[in-house]
Amino acid sequence: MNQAQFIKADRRLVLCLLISVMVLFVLSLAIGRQPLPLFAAFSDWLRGDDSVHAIILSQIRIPRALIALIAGASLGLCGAAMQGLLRNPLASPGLVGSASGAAFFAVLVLYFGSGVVAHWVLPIAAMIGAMLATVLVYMMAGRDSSVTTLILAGVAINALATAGMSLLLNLAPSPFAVRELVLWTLGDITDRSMGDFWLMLPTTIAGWLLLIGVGGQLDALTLGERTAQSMGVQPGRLRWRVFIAVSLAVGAAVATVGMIGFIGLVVPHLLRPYVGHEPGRLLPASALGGAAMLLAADIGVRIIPTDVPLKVGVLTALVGAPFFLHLIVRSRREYL
Amino acid sequence: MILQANSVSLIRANRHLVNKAKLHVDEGELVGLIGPNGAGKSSLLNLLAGLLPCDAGDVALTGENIATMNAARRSRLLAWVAQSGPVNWPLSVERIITLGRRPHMGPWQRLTAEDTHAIEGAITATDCESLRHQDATTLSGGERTRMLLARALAAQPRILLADEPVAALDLKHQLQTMRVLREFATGNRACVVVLHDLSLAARYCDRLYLMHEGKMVANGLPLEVLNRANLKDVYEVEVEFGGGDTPWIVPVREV
Repeated sequence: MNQAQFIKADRRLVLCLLISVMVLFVLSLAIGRQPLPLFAAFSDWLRGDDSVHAIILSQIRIPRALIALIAGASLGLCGAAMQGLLRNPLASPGLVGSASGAAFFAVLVLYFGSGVVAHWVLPIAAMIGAMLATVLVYMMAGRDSSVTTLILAGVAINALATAGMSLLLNLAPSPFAVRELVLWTLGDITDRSMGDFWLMLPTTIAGWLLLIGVGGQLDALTLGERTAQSMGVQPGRLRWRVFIAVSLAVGAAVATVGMIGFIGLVVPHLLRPYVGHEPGRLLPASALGGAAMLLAADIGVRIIPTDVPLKVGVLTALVGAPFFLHLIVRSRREYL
Repeated sequence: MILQANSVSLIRANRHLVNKAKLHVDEGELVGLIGPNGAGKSSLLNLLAGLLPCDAGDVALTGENIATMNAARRSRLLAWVAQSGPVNWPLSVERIITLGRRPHMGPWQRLTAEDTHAIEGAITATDCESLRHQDATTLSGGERTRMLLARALAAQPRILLADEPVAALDLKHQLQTMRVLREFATGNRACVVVLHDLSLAARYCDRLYLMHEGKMVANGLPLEVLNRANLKDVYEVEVEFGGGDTPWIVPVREV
């Protein structure tokens, strides 16, 4: 394939993903406990008519769909960026502990200061948690990280964060507090407002912007850190740029929707063959793929008939964990 | 003078991997760097490429200190080929070679006719045509070496630093690679190559540098450096010479 064909293939892939994201977004507005006649609801809303439909649309469904959209995109994008940086298909925000680090810090804030501290403290705490966990794993696994070391370091950090969260659950003063904390660890997009969306938007966008232009550097890293350095990449700088971007975007996502695992692992892996395994071209595709997958999962929990509504993080874990097993079995054959 | 190392040292764990080594490369020169295992050849090449900071001394690339040089500018002037570089994702061989153009392209820029020309030239020179569409992670050691050399040639640098580019190659490709490096090192370009095969070093290089335990012990014309005394002291072998125009050197016994 030559360059023109690549660009054409990429456009087609991005277009396909974009269309699925838009379709899923509209479905996400229409499907729910109460089916929503979208046209009527939209026209009521635009006219300023406070009908039930308009209120459901503007205050429940739109924030929910928007949050799923950008949180999913962040998880997919950050998964692809981490895998490119660590040159390892098993790296993802969930596995290397960024997500659980964020969740632990968020739960910490909820536990000690829920309602007392300003509302923007939560996402900032989550970001710091994500950063701390990511850097710790990196320090343990080192720069030429083998699959095994990286996974072990991730397991250790995840265990630490889970232990912290368990402690807080154990010490929680009331059943209500326990319930709130548990919701965090499950991952859930219900009952979110436009306020939540606006709160997560700036840091999410900041994270995405930081990742613009790292694609070519991740491509060069395919040949190893030293060779990439000889090609003009500054590995140290690149590393911090990706860590900060992941912490911003994943921190914001986790602070809003809790721990939603496996999207950052599964999406880049599924899309990689379609972009010729090139880490740079994978970034935009994975962002769209992540958005599509979280929107789909969030629709899934609404149409799967269970007595108690399923949490979206539970669904992605149910799908993602077997997939993870499959990846490990395969990478054992290839790398170890 | 295109590249110059002024008494450079590299110290790790209190050991001098490179000890006050001096080296210079002029335009149009193919310079060979030889020495036994652990002599510090690869370490010195890393210093010359600006990939590691010197613990003493400095390296000048086209007269400018390489340590303070802009990384993008350095990557346009100099290319470095690792000894057995990793390939982490199953990209096609052609796409790996295309990565070589990265120093010349902006982040969003597409390949120009000039880029394509450089890539095709590199593919032809290294005999990678038949590998073009193969998965780069499934290549043999020798094929991978040729691909990585093609990647560096595609960058069209002024100076090429190659770390044992013929070690894993079959006989035909050894000669081919040496010819490519010889042809590369003309005009305002130059090349430094680490070699273990003394016959190839004697035959193709303009000048040789002989390293031993981090120190530069001899330099000059190939057959001046490769004398019996030097080879006995440094490599600890006795050798047989022959050949005339196509010199050969064969080790015959340990000392």
